[in-house]
Amino acid sequence: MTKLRYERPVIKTLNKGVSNKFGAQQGFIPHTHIDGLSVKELTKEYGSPLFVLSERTIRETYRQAKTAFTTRYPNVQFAWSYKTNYMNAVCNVFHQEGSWAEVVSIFEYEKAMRNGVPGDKIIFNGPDKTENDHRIAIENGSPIHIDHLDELYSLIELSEKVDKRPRVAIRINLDTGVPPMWDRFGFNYESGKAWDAINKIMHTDKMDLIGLHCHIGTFMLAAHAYKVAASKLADLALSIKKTFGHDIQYIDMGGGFASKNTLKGAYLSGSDISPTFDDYAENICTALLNAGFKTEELPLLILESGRSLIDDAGYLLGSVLANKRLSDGRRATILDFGVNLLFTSFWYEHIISPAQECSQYAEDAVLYGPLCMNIDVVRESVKLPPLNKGDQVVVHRVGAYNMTQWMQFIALRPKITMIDMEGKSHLVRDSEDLDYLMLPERMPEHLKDFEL
Amino acid sequence: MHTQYKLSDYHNRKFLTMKSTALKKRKVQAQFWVDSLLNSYGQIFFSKNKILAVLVVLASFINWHIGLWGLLAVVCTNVMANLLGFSRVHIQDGLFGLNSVLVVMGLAVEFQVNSAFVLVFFAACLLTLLLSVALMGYLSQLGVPFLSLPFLFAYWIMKLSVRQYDALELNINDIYAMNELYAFGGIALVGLYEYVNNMGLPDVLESYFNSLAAILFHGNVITGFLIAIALLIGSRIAFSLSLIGFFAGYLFYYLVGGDFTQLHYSYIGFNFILTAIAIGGFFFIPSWRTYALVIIITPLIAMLIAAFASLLLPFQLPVLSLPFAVIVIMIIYTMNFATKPHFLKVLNQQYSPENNLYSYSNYKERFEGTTWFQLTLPFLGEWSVSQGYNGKYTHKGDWKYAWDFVIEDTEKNTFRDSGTTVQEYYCYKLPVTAAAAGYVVQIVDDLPDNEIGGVDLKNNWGNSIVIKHAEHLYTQISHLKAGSFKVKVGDYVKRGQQLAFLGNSGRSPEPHIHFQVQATPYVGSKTMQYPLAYFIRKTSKGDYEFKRFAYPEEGDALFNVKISKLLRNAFSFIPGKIMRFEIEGDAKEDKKIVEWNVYTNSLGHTYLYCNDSNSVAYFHNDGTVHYFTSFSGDRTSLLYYFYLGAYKVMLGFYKKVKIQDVIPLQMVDSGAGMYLQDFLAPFKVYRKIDYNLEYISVDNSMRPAKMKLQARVDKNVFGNVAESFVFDIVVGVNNIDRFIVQFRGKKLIARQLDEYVSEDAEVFQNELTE
Repeated sequence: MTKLRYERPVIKTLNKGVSNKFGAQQGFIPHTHIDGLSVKELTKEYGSPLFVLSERTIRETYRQAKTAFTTRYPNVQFAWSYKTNYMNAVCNVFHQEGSWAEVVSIFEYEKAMRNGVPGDKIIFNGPDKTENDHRIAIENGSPIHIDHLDELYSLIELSEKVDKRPRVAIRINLDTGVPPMWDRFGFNYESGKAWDAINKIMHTDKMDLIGLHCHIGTFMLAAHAYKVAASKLADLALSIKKTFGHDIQYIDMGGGFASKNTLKGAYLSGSDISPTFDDYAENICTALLNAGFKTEELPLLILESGRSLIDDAGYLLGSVLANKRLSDGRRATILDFGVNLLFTSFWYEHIISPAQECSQYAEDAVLYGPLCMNIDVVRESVKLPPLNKGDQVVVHRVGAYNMTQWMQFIALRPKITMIDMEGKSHLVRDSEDLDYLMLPERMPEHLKDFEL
Repeated sequence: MHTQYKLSDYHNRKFLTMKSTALKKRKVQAQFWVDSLLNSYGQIFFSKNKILAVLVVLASFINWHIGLWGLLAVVCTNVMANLLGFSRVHIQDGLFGLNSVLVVMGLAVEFQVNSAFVLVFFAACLLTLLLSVALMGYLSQLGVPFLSLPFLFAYWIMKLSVRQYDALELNINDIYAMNELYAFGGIALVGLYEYVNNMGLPDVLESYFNSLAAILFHGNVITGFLIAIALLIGSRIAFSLSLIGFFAGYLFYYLVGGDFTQLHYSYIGFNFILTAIAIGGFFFIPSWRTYALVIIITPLIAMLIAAFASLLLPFQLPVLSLPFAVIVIMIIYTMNFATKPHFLKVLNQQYSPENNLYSYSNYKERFEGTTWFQLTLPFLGEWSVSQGYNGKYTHKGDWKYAWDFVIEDTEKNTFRDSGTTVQEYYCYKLPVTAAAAGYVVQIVDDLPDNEIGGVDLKNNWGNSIVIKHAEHLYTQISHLKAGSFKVKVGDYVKRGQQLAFLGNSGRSPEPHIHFQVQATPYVGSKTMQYPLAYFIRKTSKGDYEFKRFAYPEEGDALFNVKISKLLRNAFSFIPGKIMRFEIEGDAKEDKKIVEWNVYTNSLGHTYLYCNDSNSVAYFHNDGTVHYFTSFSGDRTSLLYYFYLGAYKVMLGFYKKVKIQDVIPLQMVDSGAGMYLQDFLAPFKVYRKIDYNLEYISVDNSMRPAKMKLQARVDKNVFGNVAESFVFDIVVGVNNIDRFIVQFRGKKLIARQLDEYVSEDAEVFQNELTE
C-alpha cells in the first residue's frame, strides 16, 4: 500500500451544484499525461518550467481547419503566421501539412527562407519593411502586402531600380460592425482610401497587384464579421476587374480566429463561446461564392490563422516554489514561471491543472510567478486544490504567442519539447544559459576591470 | 505569352495557308484513288498494307491478261461507286473493288477479249458493286461482314447468263500458260517458271502455293509464292494462320481419306486459308483460343466444300469461296450469342491481327468511358466512403448501388469532442453539389434532423433532392438539412453547383451524404450501377490515384479533379487551329519549322495533321483527359513524339498523381524482335510499351503561367526496360510552350512559335482514315 499524499485541510464556503454563473468549475481534474507521456517524467528529463508541444494536436487542428474550408470553397491556402510561433519545428509541421508562410519582419522572412519555404509562398506583411527588405522580397517573388502610402511610394521608387516587377497586395481595413475597428493597419475601405491606393498601383503600372488582404481583428468571437469583410474585399476585387480588366489572384482574409482560451473578463468560457472553424468558413466561403465571381476566376482564399491553429497544442509545465497566505487570508502559490514565460496571462484566464492526484477540495488562490516584480501574476483568482512545494502544474493552450513573446527577464528561457505522432518527445529548443545571454554583449575596454 | 504578329505577316500567312490548302486537296484526292486501288487488292487478304497490296497486284500480273482486267475492274468499280455517290470511306477502304476484281479475274480466265467481253466486263463491275452495297447494307444490320458473297453471287450470275451469249469466246490462252508468261516477263519469267516447276517442291507446299494463287484464279506456284510473301509482310499472324489453316485441312483430308484431288486440282484449299485468317486473327482478337477454333472447324469447311460442290454441280457452278463465306459469317454471328466472351470481337478494326491484339488490351479501358454520362462527386473537398456498393448497413437489395460519404480526421473519427451532437460532426452543414448538370425534379425539405444515433424509419431518405441528367438517368442526394435548399424543383443546375447543406434527416444516425444513381425520378427509387467519371483517390501511402469511370469503395478517401485552366487551354485543340513549332536538334544548325493543323473528319474524330511529314495523330479530349488514340505517318516527326509524350494527359495539376497507360506495341516497336513477337503474340505478349506521366512543377500556384510535365515511354522486353523516351512538356498560359524529346542520347527541343485559328471559311476537312 502506497503512502497517501498529504493535503492540508482547507476551509471554504459551501457551493451548491457543480456550475455557477462563471461556468463549470475547473482545475479539479489532474492532468498527469500529455500525448501519453507523463508530466513528471517530462519535467524530470527536461527540467521545469518546460514548454511542451503536441505535433498530433497541431496536425489534427490544422486538418480540421483545412477541411472546414476546402469542403466549402474550391481554392484554399493556409499561410502559417510566423509571429504566433516561429519555432522551426512548429513551422515545419505546418509546412509539411501544406501551409505557406506569413511573416511580418525581415528576420521572420529569412527564417522562413531558411526553413526552405519557396519565396513565392512567403507572404510579407506588416508596417515595418525597409528598402532592402522590399528588394529581397521582390527578388524572391514574394507577395508584399502594402500597409501605407509611404510603403507604396517607396515600392514605386524601388521598382525602377530592380528588374522584376513587385508582386503586391494591399492591406485593407474596414468596418465589419464589430468594435474595435482595426484601422491602424492598411487602407480604409469605407473612406475610399483603399480604392485610391488601388488606383495608384494600377495607374503607375510598376507592379502586379495580385491580392487583397484584410485582418479585421484578433480573437474575433463574432464569425459574421468575416462575412462582411469577405464581401467587401470581393466587391473591391470585382471593381478592379470591371475598371481595369485585371484579375485579383487571391483574397487574404488574415487571421484573428479565436482559440478556446477564455479572455479576461469574459462571462462564459472560451470553449463555450468561441466559434468553430466551420462557423468562420461558412461565413467567409459563402460571402466569396455569392460575390459574383465566375467559377473559373474565383480567387484563391488565403488564411493566416495562427492562434486558433496552435494554441491547443502548447502546454507549459511548471512547479510550485512555495505557498503563503496573503494579508487578506487568501492563499498565494508561487510558481517557477510567470509573465516572463506566459505573456498571454495578461489576456487570458489560463486553465491550470495540477499534474498529480488530488482531492476535489479546491481553494481560491492567487498564482504568482517567480519574478521579483509586482506585476508577475499568472492568475489573480483560481480554484485549485492545495498544492505542495515541488508539485507540478500544467497550463493549457499556451501554443500561441508565448514562445515568441516570452521575456528573458530575471530568469532565462527554458526548454521546449515536441511530442511526435508516435508519442516520443524531442527537444526543439534548448534552455538558454549565461553564455547565450552574454554572446552579443560587448565590454568597452575601460570598463573591463574593477576592484572592490 | 502570345506572339504578336504584324498585319502583313498575317495576310501573308493566310495566303500561304490557302495555297497549301489547295495543294493539300489535290494531294488528298490522289491519295484517295491510290488507296482505293491498293486496298481493293489488300482487302482480299484482310489487309490495308500497301506493300502486301503491291505484291498481290504483281502476283496477279504473272498472268498479265488476268492481272490487267482485274486492275481495270477495280478502277471501273471505284469510279462507278464514286459517281453513284457511295461512301468515299468505303471506296477508299477498297470494300467495293475487292469483289469486282475477283469477279472480273474469274471471267477473264474463261473468256477471250473482244467487244462482247468489254460489255460483260462493265455489267459485271456494276452488278458486283450493287450486290456489294446491298449485301453490306443488309448484313451490317446483323453485325456480320459480307466477305466474298457479292463476288460469289455476281460470278455465278455472270456464269449462268453468259452461256447464252455466242459472241463470247472461250479463252484458250490459259492452256498455253508459257505464252502468257513470255508476254509478261519475257524469257526470264519463263525460265523462272520452269525452274520452280522442276524444283521438286513437296506436294503439300506446292498445293499451298497453288491454293493461294487460286484466289486470284491463277494456277502457278510463283503467284502463290508472291502472295505468301505478301501475307508475311502484311501480318505474321495472318501468315502463320494461312499455314495452320491449310495444313489442318490437308491433314484432315489425309486422315479421312478424302478426295484430295479436290484440293490439288481445283485448289479449293484457299477456303481453309481464308477462314483461318478471318476467324483466327481478323474478326476476333488472336489468341490460343482462336487458333484452336481454326483447327476445330477444319472438318466443317471440308464438309461444306463437299456439300456445296454436290449442290452446285447440276448448275455447273464452282464452289469457290462459298464455304469460307458461310462458315465465317456463321461463326461471327453465333458468337454474338455467347454469354462468356472467350472469343473477343475486334471493336476497332485496324486491318492487322497483331495491331488489333496489341491495341485491344487497353482499348476497352481507354474508351469504355466515352459511352458513360460523366458524373462527379457531389461535394467539395476530400471525403471518405463510409458505405459503398452492397454495404453492410443499408445498401442492400434494390438499393445496393449507393454510396455514403463522411469526413474523417486522422484518427478516422467523423466527429470532434464527444460526438454526441450533430454539430460536432465534421460534415454537418457542409454544402452538397450537383454531380452533373440537370434539372431538379424532386425535393423533400420538411424533415427535422435526428439526434445522434436516432433514425427516422418512416422517412428513410430524409430531406432529399433528385436531379435529372438525361432520360432514365437521375441522381439522388439524401439526408440534407431542412430549409437549406438553394434550388427549387424545375431549376437547371450546373455541375458542382451548391444544392443544399447536409443535415441528419431520415434514416441517418449520424450526418452523411447518401448518393445514388437511378433510372426513375422518385426519392428512394431502385438504384442503378453507374460509375463516377473522374475522381482522385488517396491511397494508404498518401499518394494520389487518378480514377476514371470507377466505383468508389468503402474506406476510400477521395475528391474531385480540379481542372487546371492552363492545361485545359494548352490541350484545347479546336478544329481550325494551326500551331507552328521550331525544332532544334543536337546540332544547332538543323533548325526546322513544322506546322500542325487541327482537323476533324466526317465521323467527328479530331486529329492533328503535320503537313511536313504527312503524319496524322488522332486525339480525344473529354474535358478532363486528353488522349491520343492513334498515329500514322512518319515516326521521326515531332508529331509522333508528341503522340507518345502526350498519350494521356489528365488536365488537373497534382504533383502526387502519376498517370499510367500502355501504348499499343506496334506504335513504337519495330525490327526483327517485333516480327518474332508477332508470331508468338496470340500466345504471349512479352514486349510492352509503358507510358508514365508525372506533374513536375508549377511556377505560381495562384495563377500559374508555366507548368512542367514529364512523360516517360519505356519499351519493356520480358519486364526489363530496353529503351526509354523522356518527354518534357512545358505548358504556357495558352499553349504548349516547349516540348523536349530525349531518347538514345539525342535531344530535340521544339518551341511553339505561334498558334492561331484558321480564318478560312471552309475549314478543310479530309477523309484520312485511321
